[in-house]
Amino acid sequence: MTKFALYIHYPFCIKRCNYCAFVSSVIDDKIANSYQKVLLTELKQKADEQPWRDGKIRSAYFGGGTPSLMPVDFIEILLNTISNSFCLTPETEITIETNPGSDVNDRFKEFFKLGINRLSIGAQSFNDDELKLLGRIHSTDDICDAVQAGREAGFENISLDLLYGIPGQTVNSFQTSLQKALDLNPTHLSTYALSIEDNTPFARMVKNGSLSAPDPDLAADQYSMLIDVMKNAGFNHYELTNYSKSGFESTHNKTYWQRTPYLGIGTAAHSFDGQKRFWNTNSIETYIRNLKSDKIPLNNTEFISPPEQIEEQLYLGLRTSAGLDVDFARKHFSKNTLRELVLDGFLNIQHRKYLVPEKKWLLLDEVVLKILSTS
Amino acid sequence: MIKKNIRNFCIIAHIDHGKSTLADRLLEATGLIASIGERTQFLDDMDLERERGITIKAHAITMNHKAADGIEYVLNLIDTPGHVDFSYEVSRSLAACEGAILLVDASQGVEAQTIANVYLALENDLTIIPAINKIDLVSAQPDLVQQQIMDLIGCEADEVLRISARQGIGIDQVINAVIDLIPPPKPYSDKFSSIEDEPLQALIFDSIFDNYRGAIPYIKVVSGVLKPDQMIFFHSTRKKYQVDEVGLLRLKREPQKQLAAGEVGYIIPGCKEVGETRVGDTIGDVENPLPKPLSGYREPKPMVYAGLYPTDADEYEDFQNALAKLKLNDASLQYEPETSGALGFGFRCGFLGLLHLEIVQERLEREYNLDLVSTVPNVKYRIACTDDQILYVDNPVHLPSPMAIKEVEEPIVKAQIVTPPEFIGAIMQLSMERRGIYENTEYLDPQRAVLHFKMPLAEIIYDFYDRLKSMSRGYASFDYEHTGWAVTKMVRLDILLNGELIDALSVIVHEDKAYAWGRRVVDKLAQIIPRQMFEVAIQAAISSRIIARATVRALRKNVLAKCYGGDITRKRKLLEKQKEGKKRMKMLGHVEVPQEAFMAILKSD
Repeated sequence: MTKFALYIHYPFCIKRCNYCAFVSSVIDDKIANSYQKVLLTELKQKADEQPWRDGKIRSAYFGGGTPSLMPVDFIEILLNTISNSFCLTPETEITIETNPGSDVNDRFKEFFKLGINRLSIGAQSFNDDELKLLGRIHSTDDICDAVQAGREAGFENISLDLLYGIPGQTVNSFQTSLQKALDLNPTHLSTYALSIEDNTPFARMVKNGSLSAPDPDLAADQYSMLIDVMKNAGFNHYELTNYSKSGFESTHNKTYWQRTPYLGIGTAAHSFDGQKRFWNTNSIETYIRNLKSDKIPLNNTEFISPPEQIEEQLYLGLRTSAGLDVDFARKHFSKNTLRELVLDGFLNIQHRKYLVPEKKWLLLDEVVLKILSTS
Repeated sequence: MIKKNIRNFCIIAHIDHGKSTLADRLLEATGLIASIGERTQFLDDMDLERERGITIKAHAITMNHKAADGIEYVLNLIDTPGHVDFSYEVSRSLAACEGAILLVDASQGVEAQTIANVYLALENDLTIIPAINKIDLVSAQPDLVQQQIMDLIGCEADEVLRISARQGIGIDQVINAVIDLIPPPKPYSDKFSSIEDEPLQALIFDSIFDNYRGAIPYIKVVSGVLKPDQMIFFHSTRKKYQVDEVGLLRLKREPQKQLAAGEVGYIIPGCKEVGETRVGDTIGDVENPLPKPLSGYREPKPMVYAGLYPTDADEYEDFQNALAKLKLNDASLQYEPETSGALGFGFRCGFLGLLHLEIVQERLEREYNLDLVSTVPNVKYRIACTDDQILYVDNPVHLPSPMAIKEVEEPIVKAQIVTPPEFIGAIMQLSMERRGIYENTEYLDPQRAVLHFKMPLAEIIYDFYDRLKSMSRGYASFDYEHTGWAVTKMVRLDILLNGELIDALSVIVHEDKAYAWGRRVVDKLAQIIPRQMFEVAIQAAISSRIIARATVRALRKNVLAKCYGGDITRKRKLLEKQKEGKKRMKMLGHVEVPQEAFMAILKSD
């Protein structure tokens, strides 16, 4: 029986943010309705296919977009379909993402009743000017309201997303945001340095000079402050971008770094069956059309060759605090390079694992490239 | 008897004065190619030539033309390169001709290089047919240019043709002048009643390599006859071959039963080994050899040296083979293996000049698909050592320590610069900056001065021509010839990356210019070297005394953190892209340096 993580993508938001490159669009009830229908179709298709058929779900994750905009009764149908098709236990981590200001806080109670046990809130910043620049529809107060509503609905496990490297943001203003986030007592925090993605309003603004590109050195300073603050607040830095209170590491998140299988349903969703990766079309329209005529909405499939598998293990392993097995690394990569990296402080060895020290984690790609270039 | 209907000629012209267009018109008028509406430029068949607007390699083409007298003439047009670096190639082409068309742009006038080539043609006793081109241009000043030409070659006004190759004006006049004025090839000797009895002499003026047929020299038969199956030898190598094929060069090679004295064509000697058909060499007959080769051939002397290295060490053998092939049709290219601590295995190459270096490098990269790095070029120095030994040094690494040097001498050239008078001041200043010694100024006409300088060759191989062109808005032109050696004060300047001496970046530089050079290179490297995992200290030093320093701060962030819902593929692709980027880097010591760094050091700002 295959154990896997299930991801369900809901590509609609009330408004698109200025930095966002995820597949999502402004919600339109008619399209959203059609989308929901075919989402079930795809779920049923996959439930009949190997290796997913009769598999056991390690975690389920409703991502987006803003999946909390899905009607409660539809979520119920989804969850019923999931538990009818796959093995799902009450302990299974089930996450739903929500964005403050989406007027959905009153649904949290019902989400919780349906078995969803983890709430991931897109806070991004606790500075209203920054939120405005990012194109978020909410204020700092809306974040607090969402967290409070989550708590009242019964959620113990609440994660917040925070951005740093926002234009105009300083180390101090990020620290203020971070402190406000910690004051809300989340169990989990995901933090990303803002990157300017193609085809976003930010990319256009940088191009026409109305926005300055993020300064990587400032981001590095912010990161440096971040890891100190999080350590003092009692969080484990269990993955490059993720921090959790003890016992609240995200099972779903770790799936991606551990190279264990995952099934993605919905537009642009990615899947990995242990050997190959495949992903759905980015186009909501194509997705709906294909499934309506009972065709698969696949965009592409990629088989991972054995050398590529080894490379993936390298750069995914080093993203986590679990690290990379020393014997594995020495077997496949240059021992001299690994030794040099240890001597120069870019790798540590703990319990027979190579780890990138927290202070150097932002140079992960350099470390990986160094290892790959000499093997 | 030698055929009286052969005319061997070339076109002497400055870049962009219309040589290729005139050549096309001649091909068209003699029916070799169909009518040409726009320019096609048949003679420049390398991309590189067309892009740079210059002819790098001499080629040849045979045309037939029935003249008014009813005789069918054979017109052999031998193309010549048009840049100052290639004066040796010009000399070989001229040696195969009896006449030359001197083509001058009606609005540009006579340029320095044209003068140099005209002198070379006169030395070779060539008949010169002067022609003013582009007379249709609004800016044309044919009377002024005519006077310049008359002063230059001492001809009469009515001898100067006025044409427009682009418009097809005056092409017939050119052909008639070639036929009427240029003499047929000179007979070898009147001792022989038949050409067949003459000892064979054929001059190689160019040579190409064909993957199927091997080396193919382009030749002019000076005496005797060349036929398939004949046993021949090359004077310089004494190697013998049996001739596979001889023929004429038209748009394609056209095999013939023989090539006789006076004729121009090709020979396929069945020579598979690269490097044995040397341009400028003489072909003789094994059965009937002459003891001496033809005169007029000069050993090509490289003037500029640089190390060339494959970026990828695995390409060393390919590089070696490519150099051997290039050498086949570029007699002036010299090379020998050298090793650099920084760049690994490569070759020290000798070139005629900086443009020649660039062209060779580009051809190696394009035609042989190699990725190369070049060190900073330098001239050859003559060093008198304290132990009374004389050394020639063409590589900074081999410069003895200052203690061991009694005296350094550097090559000196006589430079002539032709310019409109308004740029004289700026050119004087440039030449002084380049340690030039002013000699005198002549006027070709009130609009055109010729400045004469003596200058160190080392000062003109670096960027002089580009500077001259830009400060004179393209009007000034320049040529030089070697005159000898002069005592100078040179030092070796080293570049260190994180304390490690990078031998490939060392240069020999004049004492007074060492500081400026060091500062410039250090700053340039600081701009080009990307931030990496460590801070990089860049230093310039003369005998371990640091004269300039710059720092590249350590990189602090390079990671693709965000993962889009399990989209590992995107991560891997971005990593692959970064990997490709790293491949374009050279590890110098422990520092990653982009290949462009080497080229950037060669260019001024």
